Amino acid sequence: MSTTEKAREGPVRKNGEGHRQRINWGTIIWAVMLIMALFAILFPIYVVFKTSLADRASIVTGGRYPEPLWPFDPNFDQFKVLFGKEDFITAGLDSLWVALLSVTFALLLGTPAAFTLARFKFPGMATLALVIIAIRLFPDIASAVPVAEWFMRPPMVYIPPLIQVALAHALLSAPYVVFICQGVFETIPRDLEEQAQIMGASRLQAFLNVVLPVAMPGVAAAAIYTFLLSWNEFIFAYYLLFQSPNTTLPVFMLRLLTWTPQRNYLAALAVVLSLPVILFTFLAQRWMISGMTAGAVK
Amino acid sequence: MASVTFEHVTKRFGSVTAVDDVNLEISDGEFLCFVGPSGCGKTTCLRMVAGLEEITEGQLYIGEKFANYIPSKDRGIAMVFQSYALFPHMTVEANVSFGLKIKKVPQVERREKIDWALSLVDLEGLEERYPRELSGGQRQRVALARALVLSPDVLLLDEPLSNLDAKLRLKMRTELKRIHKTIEATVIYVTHDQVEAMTLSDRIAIINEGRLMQAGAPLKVYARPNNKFVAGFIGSPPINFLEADLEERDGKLFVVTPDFALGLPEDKAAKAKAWSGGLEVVLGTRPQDIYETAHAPAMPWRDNAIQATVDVMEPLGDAVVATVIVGQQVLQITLPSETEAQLDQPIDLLVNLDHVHLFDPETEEAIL
Repeated sequence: MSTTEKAREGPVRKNGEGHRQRINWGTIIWAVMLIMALFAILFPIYVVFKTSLADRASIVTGGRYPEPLWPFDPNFDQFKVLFGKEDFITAGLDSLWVALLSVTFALLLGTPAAFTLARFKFPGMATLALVIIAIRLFPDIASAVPVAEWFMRPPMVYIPPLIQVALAHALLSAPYVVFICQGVFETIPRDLEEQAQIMGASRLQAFLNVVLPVAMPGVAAAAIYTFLLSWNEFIFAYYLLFQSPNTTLPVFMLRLLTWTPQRNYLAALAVVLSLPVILFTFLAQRWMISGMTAGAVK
Repeated sequence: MASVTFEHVTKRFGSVTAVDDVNLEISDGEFLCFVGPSGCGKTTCLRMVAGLEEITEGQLYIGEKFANYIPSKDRGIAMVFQSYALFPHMTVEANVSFGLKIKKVPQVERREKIDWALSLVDLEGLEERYPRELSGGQRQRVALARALVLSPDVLLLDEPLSNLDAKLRLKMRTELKRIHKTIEATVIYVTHDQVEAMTLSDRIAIINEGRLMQAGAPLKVYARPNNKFVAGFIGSPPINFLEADLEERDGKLFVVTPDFALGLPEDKAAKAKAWSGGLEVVLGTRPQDIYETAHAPAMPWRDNAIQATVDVMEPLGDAVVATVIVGQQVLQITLPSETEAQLDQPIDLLVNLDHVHLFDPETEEAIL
């Protein structure tokens, strides 16, 4: 039998009668691990979502029957209660304000620094890069103390508390902005800037009119990151707002926890806390068009 | 319009000398090509004119003005990068109008200039497209329009055709010549393609290892190369170099290689005798100057016959490039397409002695 005949017969025999499919243990193990990972990721989301819609009977079982997989009478009552509370609305708006402000601060601080690191070579660059990320070398709780201290003294103490929080959040996220944007700026061909300069633009005009728009997808990624960091951040906000009537949502949640409310109420708050994150991510994703630089060179 | 003058211009990057003491005067309205192998410093020369590289030593003049420290935007130049460097987030029109907007040219005048530039490069109707929606050739035209719209005194082109396919390259070459005729600006063009340089320019400046080897009209450089490098770089297929000795026999000067000897005509012999460098030389003869005896034009010398064997034949349509073996040496020659030469068969050749070049083997300078 020639080799070609053998090869032709191969698939026939495989599909033919009496052929036993060999079990590929490797694939099975991978599949099981994937399912476990998915479960680990999705289960908490499911629990929070389910609980937020639950009626009282579905969560207060008294141990007489197991908690149902889906509420007996799903409803939006807890959300209605939540949105009826003025302090929740205020905290939500404060959170949004702090997050947007910290995005602004972080980008204003971070993008020029990133551009400098990407375009200019100077001695001590490596050290500088390390210094920029230094604050992230400490646990948040450790850096929160000196930062809070600092904000408690003049002149910083005269800054409104929410802006203090926004500044503190910008401090945390600026290193990431620098690193993300530096990477992005390095991918933008220098030719573009040089061309703009030959055409009469100043260095700043070239940066604002050419480099920044082309870098938009990367900058958007950094902005999303900064927004999420600020929206989720608890420790700095907790310290800085200790004596303030203002709260951000994570701090508001803690204050809520202290009088142990019903679980479905807390779950509803958790869902509301997550929604803007998802929304903001989708909005900013519009900027994340791949191939933004396509057609720039060649 | 403006002339551009290099006076002892040198550029060093750290310890590397990229451009070494270049002296060159490019006159107003001239089309000059910097040509040379990759990394020879030709693009650096262009970037110095553009103001994108500082000049380490020497003076650069644009027009009458000392230009070393004039910022790019005030030099009256425009440039097309090898990469085109189109702004990807802007439409064709926005790309072309960018410079005018920065320079605060009024709307009406801007419109006129944009239309003029786009029609000059044949791009009308594509104003609203983005660079990513254009073909390579169209992008190249946008880059050109963007430069032309500024009405520069000096137009700098950095290998503008190197990213196009062969056919489009030929077409754009013609276009560029036409555009140069229209705008009358001084054009400095960088290319590594000697054919492009020969066909486009009024003068070519050949650069090697940062030094200007020769500047002159294309045909002059072709016929009278200053040195071995220029002779080897200009011309296609490349010139043949053979090691040879000068020998006087019966009052006549011969260039003797191990396998044949060529008697020099009197004017060349006189120059070779005047040269004091010894007896060893490098003989250079272009493939076009070696004829198959059967097809040779009438020449006064019939005693320079070379016996060779055809090794490879490459038909081009209008001619055949043949590689022949003479004893130990290999020569490239061009034959007419009606040649009777056969592969692996002997062939009789004649050398046009009027076009023979001799070079000093040490300095590589031309003797003849």
